[in-house]
Amino acid sequence: MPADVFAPSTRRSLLRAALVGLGAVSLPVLQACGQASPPSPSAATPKSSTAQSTAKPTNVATSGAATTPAAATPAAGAKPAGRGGAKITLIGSSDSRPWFEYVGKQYHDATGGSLQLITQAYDQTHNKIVTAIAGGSSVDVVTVDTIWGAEFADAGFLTPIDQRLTKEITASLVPHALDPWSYKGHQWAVPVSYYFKFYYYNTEILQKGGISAPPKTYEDLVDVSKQLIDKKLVKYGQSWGWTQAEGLICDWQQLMLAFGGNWWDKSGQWSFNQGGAVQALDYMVSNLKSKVFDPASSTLTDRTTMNVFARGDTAFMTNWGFAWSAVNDTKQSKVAGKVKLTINPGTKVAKVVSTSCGGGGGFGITPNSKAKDDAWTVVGLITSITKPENDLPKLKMIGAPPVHEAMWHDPKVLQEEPQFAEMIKQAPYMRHRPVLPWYTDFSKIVQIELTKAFSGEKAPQKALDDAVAAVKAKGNPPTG
Amino acid sequence: MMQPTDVVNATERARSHQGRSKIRFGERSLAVVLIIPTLLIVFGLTIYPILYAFWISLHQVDFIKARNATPFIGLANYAHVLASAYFWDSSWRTLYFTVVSLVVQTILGLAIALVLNEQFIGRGIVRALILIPWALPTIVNGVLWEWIYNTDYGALNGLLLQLGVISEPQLWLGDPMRALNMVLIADTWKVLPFYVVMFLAALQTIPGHLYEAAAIDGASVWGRLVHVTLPYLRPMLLVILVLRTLQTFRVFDIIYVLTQGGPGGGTRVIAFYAYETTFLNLNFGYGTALSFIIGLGTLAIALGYVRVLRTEEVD
Repeated sequence: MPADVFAPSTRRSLLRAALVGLGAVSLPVLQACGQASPPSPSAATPKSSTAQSTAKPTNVATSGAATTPAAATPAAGAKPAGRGGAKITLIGSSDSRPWFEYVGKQYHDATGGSLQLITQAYDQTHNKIVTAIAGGSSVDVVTVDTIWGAEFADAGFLTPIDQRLTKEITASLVPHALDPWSYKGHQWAVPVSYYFKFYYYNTEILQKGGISAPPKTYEDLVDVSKQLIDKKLVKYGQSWGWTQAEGLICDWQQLMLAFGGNWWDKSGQWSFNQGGAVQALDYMVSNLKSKVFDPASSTLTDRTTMNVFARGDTAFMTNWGFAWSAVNDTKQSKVAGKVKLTINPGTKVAKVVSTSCGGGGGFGITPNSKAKDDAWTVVGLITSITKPENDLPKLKMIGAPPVHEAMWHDPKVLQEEPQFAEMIKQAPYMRHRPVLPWYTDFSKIVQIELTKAFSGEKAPQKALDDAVAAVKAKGNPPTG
Repeated sequence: MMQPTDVVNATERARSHQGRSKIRFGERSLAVVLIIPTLLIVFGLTIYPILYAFWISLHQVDFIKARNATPFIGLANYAHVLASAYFWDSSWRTLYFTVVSLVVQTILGLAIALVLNEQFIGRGIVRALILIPWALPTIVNGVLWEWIYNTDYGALNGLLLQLGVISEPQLWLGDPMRALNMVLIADTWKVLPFYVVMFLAALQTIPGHLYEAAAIDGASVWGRLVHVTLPYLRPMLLVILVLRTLQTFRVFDIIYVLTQGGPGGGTRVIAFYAYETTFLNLNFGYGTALSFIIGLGTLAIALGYVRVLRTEEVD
């Protein structure tokens, strides 16, 4: 009888099971939050004796050795005599794992200490760091993206490293290299790579179209694109990564600054709904509509937009340094060997030469680290800040552009990476995104309003007005 | 060996003669000892985190605004959530997603199950094939559909262009409402096997003689479906609805992969909003309050189903 199959009791128990399931599964966020507790201020300088006494026994050899030089020799214990490097735990993106392992060996050879790695895909890294540190895990070194600096600093995830940065180190770095992590008068992290966006163009298409040089202004870009489209050499002039994601903010800032707009005005008020900013968004929207730019740009990221350029469907692309090897890889690109680099266009209307958005990552030390000196040793090696010779292997292993100015002009580097000669010309026009502790929130608001303008839901002026109003309600531009 | 039922019986007995016999008391403590590990696990992994999260939701725990000060603010977080336009936007979006998903998927799932319940050559193979989407991890499914929807090189535009249905490539994920529907389609493809398998299981319990009797009484195919098949499927339908409502209400992973809540916030469903607030904006107090409200919402839906189920039983 079918009634037996679903007898009331079975049904009830099924439902009960479902309800129990609800308790367990409907609150994953809650459970994760449950582990989170605000890092106590005493973590950096333990006030309570219990905190110290519980932490000490397991780490007496390592932390004692690391923080007090006198203890280094006697406390070394099992480690090679005369050295006493601590076990340093690092959270970073898995893309860079080979590099971390390489540095781990260097660190071990130099100090006898070890480097323990916690790596995950880049997209998970922010959450991993937040949950690990907020949950009280012992982590010494964390990767800090350019846009996380202020956030992590305010959240108490980082300890200032001003004292450790000598004048010689600072002077040897490329311009603006430290900017993203300079916040509230302190330096919170140091860069591992020096990224910014460049202008890529397809020499073959330009030649076929009788165009002698890539456009120097965005106005010219439209004219040149139209010519190439009319001659059926390309589908669109340029494709962009303008989906609702962080990459959109980079390009938006680049275009806004090129058209003479700015995030905030001289009086410190948000102003990206005025003048050049509105012109920039008008320019973006109208060229998407007229198909001078790939209309699919609003669904592509800075990575997927490379496919369009790599297939030869567009002549131009704004992208990060990593695109260089991707579009020149014959396995994944039809345009390999036909690509050249130059600086991003400016505008005639605002008389701007060029603009570019900075990116890349850095490394900082957590306040909870019990071996901050050793942590700094690791940071110095990973970022190559304290060991410029590390710039080259780092470039080879993870493609991180060097942080030392001299390396960009070094014949040894240029022999391997001749494009660097062009890339470094973009550096003076580079600017980082706003250093705000609530950057993620800020960025999301702007992303959403910009995409509303792309989809035609709002006019550019209205979208920017709404974005400014929403951002204003959250806070003020960074000071200083 | 002592069976679990023996333990229960022993406990019962021990209760009726409390403390009289040392052996009985021993059995009772054994029962307690046996339950303790489970209780600890349930408490440690479910009850404690939920209580702690509730505690956080009553405080201002915003790492960005003030990391060291976490004052007690009562229900202010809850009030902020309920006053937030983002919350209501994402709630309505989630409701739309849930209702449309359930309706579309139930109809399609039932239709496929009815076909697969018929005798035809190759039925076994087709039944196995239908399970494939269910075997894919959601993340893989998300990436798969991201490529299908790709404007320039996607299979969907390719197919529709060749068939002449569209004259130029469409931006499938470029418009907020359309993107939400496209996510819904991708999700439907993935979960349909669940409906099919569940319905198929229920269909196979319907005795064939009922159909014969109905046919003799002159019932049409439609009449047999409405008066024989559907009433038998009702209990299974309720189970599916309960499970799927809870799932769609919390949909997250496919959106994380496919649209990241975009474009224009068009696919920012409630679970994604909670994730953004908590883990991206580091506002744990607000985020937990939001999660509790979501939890209460799902609970209300579950209780609604219990009610329906009760009336079912009375009938």
